[in-house]
Amino acid sequence: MTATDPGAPTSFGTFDVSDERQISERSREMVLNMGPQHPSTHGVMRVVLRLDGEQITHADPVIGYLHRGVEKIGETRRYSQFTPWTDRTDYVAAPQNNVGWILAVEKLCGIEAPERAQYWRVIMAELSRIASHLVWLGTHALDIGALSMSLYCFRERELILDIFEKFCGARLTTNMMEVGGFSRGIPPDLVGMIENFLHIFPSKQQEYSDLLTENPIWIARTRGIGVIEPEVALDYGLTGACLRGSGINYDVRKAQPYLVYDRLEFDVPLGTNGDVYDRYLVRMEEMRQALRIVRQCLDQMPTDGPLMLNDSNYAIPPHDTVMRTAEDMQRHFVWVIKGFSPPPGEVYVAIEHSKGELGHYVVSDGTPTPYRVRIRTPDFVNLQILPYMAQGALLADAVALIGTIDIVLGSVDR
Amino acid sequence: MLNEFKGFAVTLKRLLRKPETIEYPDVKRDMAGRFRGLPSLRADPETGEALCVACGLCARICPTSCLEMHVVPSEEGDRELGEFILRSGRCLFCGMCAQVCPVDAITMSKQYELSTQERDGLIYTKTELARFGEQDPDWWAQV
Ligand code: SF4
Ligand code: SF4
Repeated sequence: MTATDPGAPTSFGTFDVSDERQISERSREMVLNMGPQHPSTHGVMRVVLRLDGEQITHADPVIGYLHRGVEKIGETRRYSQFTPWTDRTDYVAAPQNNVGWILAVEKLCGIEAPERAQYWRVIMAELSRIASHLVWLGTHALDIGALSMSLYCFRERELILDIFEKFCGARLTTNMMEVGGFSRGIPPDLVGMIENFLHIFPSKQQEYSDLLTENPIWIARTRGIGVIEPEVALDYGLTGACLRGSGINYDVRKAQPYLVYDRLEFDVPLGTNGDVYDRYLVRMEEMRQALRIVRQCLDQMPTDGPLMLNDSNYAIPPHDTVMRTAEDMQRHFVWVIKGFSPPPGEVYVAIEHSKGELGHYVVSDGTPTPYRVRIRTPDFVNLQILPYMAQGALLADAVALIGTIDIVLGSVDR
Repeated sequence: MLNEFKGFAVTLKRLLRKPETIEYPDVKRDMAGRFRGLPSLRADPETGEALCVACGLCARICPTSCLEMHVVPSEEGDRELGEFILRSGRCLFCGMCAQVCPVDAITMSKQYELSTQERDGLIYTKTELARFGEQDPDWWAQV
């Protein structure tokens, strides 16, 4: 067999044990590429892991695979036209993104939606918080090895998506909020569907608890893993369950109440150890509190009254009078063709999203399109803690660490 | 030990219940009244005439500019709709076109099975949109 023979096996030479001593400490590390199409990265994220044996010495998240320039798109669309794009940032919690954007625009315009519409916004946002946590719980448990959890969680999430579909016509990309309130009424059997969900869900959540909370395998995989000390959590600017899991009490709904949250009673669950297990407990409790909020909203809410601001230049005129009164028709045409122009100025509005603080910073120059739109997505900031948590962790825990941050790459990359 | 069995109890309970899923495509689920499928064009149920008055609001509000409409002079010297094209590959299914249409001529149908073999299949013409529009007696803005 000659050296030019293409079928010849490549020779690697012989390996001498004494060579090993010459290999430097540095090159004993192995670089492992995780993702971007890895099932447990929850989308398209790549993590470059440097390993020393089983131990992670460094983890580098590489993001941007799902970047679509949503902020830039916002600067080229009129204010009302941008709402459907916010669905597509964090696509598992679209109603909450809608709320964040709409509140920013309303603050810019100096208007406020009628009380009843505000209650409905809270109900939809809280249901979406539960739906988002269910996706998190299902996928997080799936990553760690509890397959059936993901099926159970998605089953209950269906109930919420059905409510969204009834309310606005879409399950995922809802585009359900409008500047000024809601232009369409509440479907008659919607309240029944929500009541039904409130009735069913607590026992289902108990099932999840039974499966996981005291499960020795679950505890072994999560307790003491990915510990974030309170000071570190603050330094990294974490929000949401990642911050509260470390015991710091910060919830935008309490700190700067928006909508009608100041009239509602709910607790902010806190963790003590700041590990994966505590963040699991915090999110589980948040779902229970969300149920409480929805219950109170249904009880307190005015049963009738306007859902939409009337006689405002910023809100869409009522649909049924468009073809009947000349004035409404004119307003409607101007609203659609030209759009509305908020006064020049800038606002930053933060809401408590299921993943943390979601902020919209909008600058208006007095034209119908925003001058600048900036979206502070919670999971983009929270993800930056990954290298810290992964340092010294075992490779097998990498998926648990990614899962516990609760990222959605559409929201991280925007 | 007991905790392991707690988990099994949940799993065993499941064994005896009826399935939560349906056998798509043999069985199809009922869509909610406000379901936002492919935008379609409605006609007057009595005369069969297209309702669109060619005002152009839908094309103007569409966030992705996926509606293309051509206005032609009508026989009465007025204006009427020529061709109407929906590039559904860009459509967000946001429902804004149906929301702003003053005469409810464009409406969100229940059509959701939209996959095709080639890109051209995603472009719908006026006739095709009108065919989808006929199928649904309760139009979107009404429910
Ligand atoms: S549903 Fe939205 S994106 Fe699609 S055609 Fe209508 S306005 Fe345009
Ligand atoms: S479909 Fe409606 S909004 Fe669009 S051009 Fe026709 S009448 Fe105007």
